[in-house]
Amino acid sequence: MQAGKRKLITKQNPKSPISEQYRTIRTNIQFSSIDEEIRTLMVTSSGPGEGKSTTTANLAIVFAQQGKRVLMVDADMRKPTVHYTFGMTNTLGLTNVLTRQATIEEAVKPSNVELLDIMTSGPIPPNPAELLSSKGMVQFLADAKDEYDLVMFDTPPVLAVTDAQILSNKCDGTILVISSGKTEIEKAVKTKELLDAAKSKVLGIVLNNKKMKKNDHYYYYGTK
Amino acid sequence: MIDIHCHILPDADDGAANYTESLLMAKQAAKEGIRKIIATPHHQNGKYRNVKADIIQSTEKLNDYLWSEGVKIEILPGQETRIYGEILEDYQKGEILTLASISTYLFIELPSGHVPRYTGQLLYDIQMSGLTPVIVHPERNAEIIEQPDKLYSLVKNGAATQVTAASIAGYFGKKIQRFTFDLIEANLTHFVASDAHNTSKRGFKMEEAYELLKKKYGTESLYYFMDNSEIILDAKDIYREVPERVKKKKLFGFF
Repeated sequence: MQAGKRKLITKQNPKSPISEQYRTIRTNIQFSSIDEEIRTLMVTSSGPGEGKSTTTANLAIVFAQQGKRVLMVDADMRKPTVHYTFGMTNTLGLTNVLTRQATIEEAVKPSNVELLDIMTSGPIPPNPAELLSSKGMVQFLADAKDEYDLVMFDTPPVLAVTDAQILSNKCDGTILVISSGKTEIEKAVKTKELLDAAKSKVLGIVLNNKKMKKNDHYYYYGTK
Repeated sequence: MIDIHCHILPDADDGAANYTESLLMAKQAAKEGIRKIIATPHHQNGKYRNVKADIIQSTEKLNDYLWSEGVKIEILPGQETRIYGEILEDYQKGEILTLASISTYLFIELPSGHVPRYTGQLLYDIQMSGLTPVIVHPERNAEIIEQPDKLYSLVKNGAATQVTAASIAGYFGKKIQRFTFDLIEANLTHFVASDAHNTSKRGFKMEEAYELLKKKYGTESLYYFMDNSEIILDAKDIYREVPERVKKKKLFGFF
């Protein structure tokens, strides 16, 4: 209880310049694909604590605010956090769907944002990578696309485990989060190589935690 | 106040030996401000066997007795089950009891000296069957004290834990008290309960523990623990904070 609560700025303060940035990312994602619409999207990073989960949640919210039916899935079966962010329990989730113990409808919970549904990770399996590469996963993606306009995945870091690579191969697009002043250049490059090797489509990079100067013009509009 | 871990059932285990002792315990609990107690006799720990049907029956009898003696405390059925490989099979067979019988929370007692290798897999299987394992008194497990990361990974993977009120209050020694605070600070525990066995050496100490929690961490922390015990009885989902690893103390730290 000592740790600060996870806040979702796009929900609490949609007019903030930060929320504006998330909407910019949203538009960039939509413009990045000309031929076909992005229907499945995953967010990852090279190492832990660079902002994957926060970015995923806020992007899911701005997509939902645009009127899309969005499903956000916690595919970080190593250290899931989505249930903390949205204040849910994690007794039923992706694990149960992939092992065919539950249907999507049973495992999904509505969030407090309109049109945004959440699927938490569910019990953490001993073999996350195998589950993510299973036939159940292919079936899940197909079924989820019938129900939702966009399915977004939060994933473990690329350099730690193979899960993100497996998933990125199955998604229409991948977003890489890089933490300013924290992510090492070599690691970022290595991450990109691994994602390319998995034949994933890296749509772009979100630069997170960039220090803003006080007189930056973004604050011109947002404040009262 | 609700106590979710107590050996108050007469002649079930090493707790109360007879109705007189149960009555004494109930009176002490009432004095501390406890209104409801989940009776959790040992099960499968090598010495005692207490299956669901027996516990429910014994709980009803004790309630009748306490009522006739004018003690206003409600006893609810529960079970402290030692971890073993066939626990889920026995749950299907109807031998294993969740807390208050209506909740999905299941007490799991680890051996005092170590954490069996299969624990992670078994706790996963338990969760896949829709139950939430609650590891009791992790602060008194020798292997967890040595390697708190073991507990971190179990909690991160969805297990809940319950610390003993007497550990917080310092009755198990300074080392265990300090470690209990470590667990609380790292969000690795979700319940405080008495694990009372009698009215002398192993009493309730709930009031004392809560008082200390309030002093050390404030009312928010106090309500977090008190509410979680209440929530069990409503068969709802408990509050959880993001678990962290226990930080290694510096050699010349202030604590």
